[in-house]
Amino acid sequence: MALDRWRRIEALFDEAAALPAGERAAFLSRACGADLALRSEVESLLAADDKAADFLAQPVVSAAAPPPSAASLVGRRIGHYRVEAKIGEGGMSTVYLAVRADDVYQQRVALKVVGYGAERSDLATRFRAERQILASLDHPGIARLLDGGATDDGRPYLIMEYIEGVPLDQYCDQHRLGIEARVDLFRQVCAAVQYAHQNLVVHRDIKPSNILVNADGVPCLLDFGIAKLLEGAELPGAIEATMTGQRLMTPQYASPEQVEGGAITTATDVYSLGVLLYVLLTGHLPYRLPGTTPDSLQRAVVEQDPERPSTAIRRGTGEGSRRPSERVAGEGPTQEALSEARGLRPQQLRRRLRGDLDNIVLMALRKEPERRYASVGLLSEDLRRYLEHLPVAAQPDTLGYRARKFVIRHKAGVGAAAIGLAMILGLAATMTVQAVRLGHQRDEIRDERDKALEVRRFLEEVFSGSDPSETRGETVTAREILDKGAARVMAKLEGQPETQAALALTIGKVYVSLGLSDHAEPLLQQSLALQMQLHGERHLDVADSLLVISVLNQNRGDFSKAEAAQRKALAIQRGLLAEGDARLGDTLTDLSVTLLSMAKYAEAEAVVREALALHRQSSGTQEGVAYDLNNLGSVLRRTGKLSEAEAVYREALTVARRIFGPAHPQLTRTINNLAVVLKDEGDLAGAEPLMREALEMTRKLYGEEHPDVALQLSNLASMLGARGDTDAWVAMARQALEMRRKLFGPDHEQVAMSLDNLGNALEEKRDFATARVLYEDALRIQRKVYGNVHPRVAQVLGDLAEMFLTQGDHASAEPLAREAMEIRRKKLGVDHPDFGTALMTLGSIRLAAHPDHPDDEAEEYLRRALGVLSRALPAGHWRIAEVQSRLGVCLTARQKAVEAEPLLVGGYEGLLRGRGAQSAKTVAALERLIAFYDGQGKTATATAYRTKLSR
Amino acid sequence: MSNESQDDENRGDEPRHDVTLLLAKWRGGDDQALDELVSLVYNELRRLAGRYLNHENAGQTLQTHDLIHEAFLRLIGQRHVDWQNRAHFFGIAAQMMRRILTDHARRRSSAKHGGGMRRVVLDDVPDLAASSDAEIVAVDDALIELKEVDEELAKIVELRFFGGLEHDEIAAVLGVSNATVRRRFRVAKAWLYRRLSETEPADGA
Repeated sequence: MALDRWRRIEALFDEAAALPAGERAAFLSRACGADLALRSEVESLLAADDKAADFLAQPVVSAAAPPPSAASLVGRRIGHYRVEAKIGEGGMSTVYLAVRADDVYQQRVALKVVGYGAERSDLATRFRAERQILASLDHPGIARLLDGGATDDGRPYLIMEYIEGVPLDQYCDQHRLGIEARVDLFRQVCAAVQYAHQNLVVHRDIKPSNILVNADGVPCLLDFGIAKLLEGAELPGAIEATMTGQRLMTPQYASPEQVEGGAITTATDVYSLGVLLYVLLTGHLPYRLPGTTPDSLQRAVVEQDPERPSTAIRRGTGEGSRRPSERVAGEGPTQEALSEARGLRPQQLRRRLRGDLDNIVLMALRKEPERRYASVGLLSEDLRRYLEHLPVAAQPDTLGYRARKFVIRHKAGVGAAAIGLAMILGLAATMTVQAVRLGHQRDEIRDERDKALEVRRFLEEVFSGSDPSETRGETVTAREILDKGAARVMAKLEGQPETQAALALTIGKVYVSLGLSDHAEPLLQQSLALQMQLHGERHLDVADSLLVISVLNQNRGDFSKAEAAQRKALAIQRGLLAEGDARLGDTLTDLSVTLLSMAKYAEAEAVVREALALHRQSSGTQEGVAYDLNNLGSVLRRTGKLSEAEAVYREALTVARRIFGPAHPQLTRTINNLAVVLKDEGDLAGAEPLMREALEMTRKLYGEEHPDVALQLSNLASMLGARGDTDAWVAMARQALEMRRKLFGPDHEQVAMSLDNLGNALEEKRDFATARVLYEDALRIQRKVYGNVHPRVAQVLGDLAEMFLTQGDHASAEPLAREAMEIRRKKLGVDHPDFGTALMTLGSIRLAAHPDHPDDEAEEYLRRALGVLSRALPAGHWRIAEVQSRLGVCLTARQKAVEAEPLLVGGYEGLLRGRGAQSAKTVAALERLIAFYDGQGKTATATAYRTKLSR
Repeated sequence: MSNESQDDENRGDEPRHDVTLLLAKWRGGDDQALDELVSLVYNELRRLAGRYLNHENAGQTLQTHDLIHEAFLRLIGQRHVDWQNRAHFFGIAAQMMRRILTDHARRRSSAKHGGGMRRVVLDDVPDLAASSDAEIVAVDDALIELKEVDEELAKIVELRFFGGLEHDEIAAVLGVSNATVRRRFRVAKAWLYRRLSETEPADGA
């Protein structure tokens, strides 16, 4: 079936499926008309859809068996021991009951054999070394390590004291132990762990199944330090244990540092003990998990705040239920069952846990090892104090700490949002300081204090939402906090207009910096309206709001609105500020950027020069100067004044390096811009190191994914393409495109730029079909964002026209080329190199229309193109060479071979120098040259050039 | 190219950075890298899956999603993983998972039934969660036909059903929106359901 046909069916299906069943028939008869086959296709699909609700709803699940274990050792003799029976099997090892064969007392031991260690000879060596240390542990709460070695087939084994007992959590539930009894037992475990710590041994894998309680009610820890012994062992079917970066751990009990591969210390055991205590008290694990995969669990351990034990008990069956293999005993039961197993009613259990026990458990579970109990002893001590009704050391985290930590923890993920939160916190601090400093009159002091208090109360409310106990333990993102803050600003601060305006502006700014324009707009409008109410139209605060609104409009690509807001702000500031005030300069800088985006280059240049003059006079930092020089460079580059642009960028770079130090976003942009202008000038060797420097610096500043990283990737991509490395061009352009789509969504102008760039690269690889799709998509976006008359639109139009030309379709190319030329004439002027390129494309199209007898028009366009480009670009630039080569062909056909020959030769050589031998442009020029010599009957010369072609 | 994705964390036996590198190469249009990648992923998955599949005395269940994650961790590791790598890896892994599961199901069902089995009556089958071998094979066959109709539809089903990926993961693999995945999965299901409910002469059995 043709894809088009299917698309039609699918579209009708989608529409019909969205309708109530009763309306579908009418819809289909309308939509399908006489096409009965189409209608019956859609109807049969709809019928299937009705029945298929559960069909394929779950991924394939295949019933299967546990991993194969190594051959059983039962009945064999290992060392001094005879193996009696298999008593357990973990993911990586098998445990047998064995007896000492040469012993009259028939001492029973547990023999643990590592399943898959045969190929790891180093393991046996490590076993011998470590087991000396472990064997020295002598404590009633620790199962003794008695012996160890390797079996005949090379598998390491350990002989341990055989403990008969029940896992700790099961023991507690079976005996319906109350909270205090559980804490008592737990403290006995702590004592054993503490003893081991004093002997410099960390357990690393504390969990209920490693703690057996014997008939006398004494808990005994198994496998002390075994995790370390086994680390690095080959672990094929680890089910209960998972391996990350060669570490062995049980994810449910693993600490953040284990998950992240950090240093393992005694604090690691403190954390696992915290999880153990959590489970004993609540019957649940500390985190609610979104998924069941090892990495979602590990992410939770690193990112989520544990839910408070006193609220965790409300989780019922079903929620957070996991595969049986991941479930710990006691998880998932109802509140009632949990409470009953502790001899309490739900209400009583909650009360018992709330407060001290919550705090103690959460202190043991802190993400940062240094903020947990400094030792297991101190944890145990705090529990003793709890049992004795003394005040405990553990305290809940403070608001300030939580907020700060929140910002730090989310820095990587939601950088801008976190910074935004810091901004809000900063605002509160400023207000408090102002309350102290400002105002000699008492009323004013009271006002400012009220304002500061108001902000503080607001923040407390917002941040209380980041306490997982109030949000059911889910991960709270910076975004959620912001959203909550925004809602409260809108709803709750009425009657506090100044505070409301300030907070709305701040949160609005944060949204803007996150690119969430729709969220920002109502806040910013609110802030603006409040400020106008408070102060009238002519006030600096009003100008501030206007300026943030202008940034919002810039982001949306709504440049005329941005310009209007900026001009309004500028008018207010000009009326209120002294003539040389740097703030005027800042607004002018912003305005120049808007004008630049609108391709109003003459105005932009005037504005940026005024800003530059203001900033140069200003006594403050020279940041404004750095920005303005950079922007001036951009104006000059875009108006084709490349050498002037280069000089200005170099000055900008000097200033930027001086004031911003070795790494700064603005520095990266200026370096990038200088590199781009060098590339335009044809100096690829000079451009490449600069681009790489900018890219590396940006990555250091922002990480792998950021708009600036995408920008520099694309620039480097086309630069490498210009140097002949097409594969790298395609790869990096694609990477930049994917990054931008992810960062900006599908219809952003930067996405369009990447589409164009990738289109260029694929065209170079002669994948015209894909390139065309990309160009057309780019064009659609550009027209949407910039309107129809904009240099960016012309750029893509020109690219598309050139591609049609390469494919021999001059009829499709011509209207595009003419539109591109008109846009460039209007926006860039007739001295701009891009206008020259437009002339060239059009001339080439005319030439292609009558290749044997080109008309005057073709020659005229090409000659004019050569004139414009030669004036605008440095001599020897490959874009000049390209026109030379094409003009050469035209002149040849018009019987002007003498004039044509040097153009064809010079054109080929210029492209060879500027674009390399592999470039499609160079190859095309070479082919033209060969055709020329063939046509002239100079076979020998043609053949000589042909050898270059075959290479 | 810069070597920012070099991974110095892994000292294990698996040549892990190769996978990262291969992914990058493949994204750059290197088809040979894809071949290597596929065989690496296939072998790893088959090794992991073999632990479950080759022992028919039941007990545990094989969750393809977990398996793929495990393979991912083993081959690539946790660190230095960008989202594209992840998405592309999952895309390949789902395809491999499909191959492993259907091969296995085919072998097993032909052992039991002595021949191919194609048609499955679905009217009274509420879901395929307990997927029988015959069902796996039937879906696999039907997917080959669906691919003829619309390749992306078949891919979505493959990622979901055989790869166990969630909608957002599928969206990332295919570079489309969540909503598109949801919408297209629905029509794909309807198509497959209709295809599998049709009576058809058993081929050659």
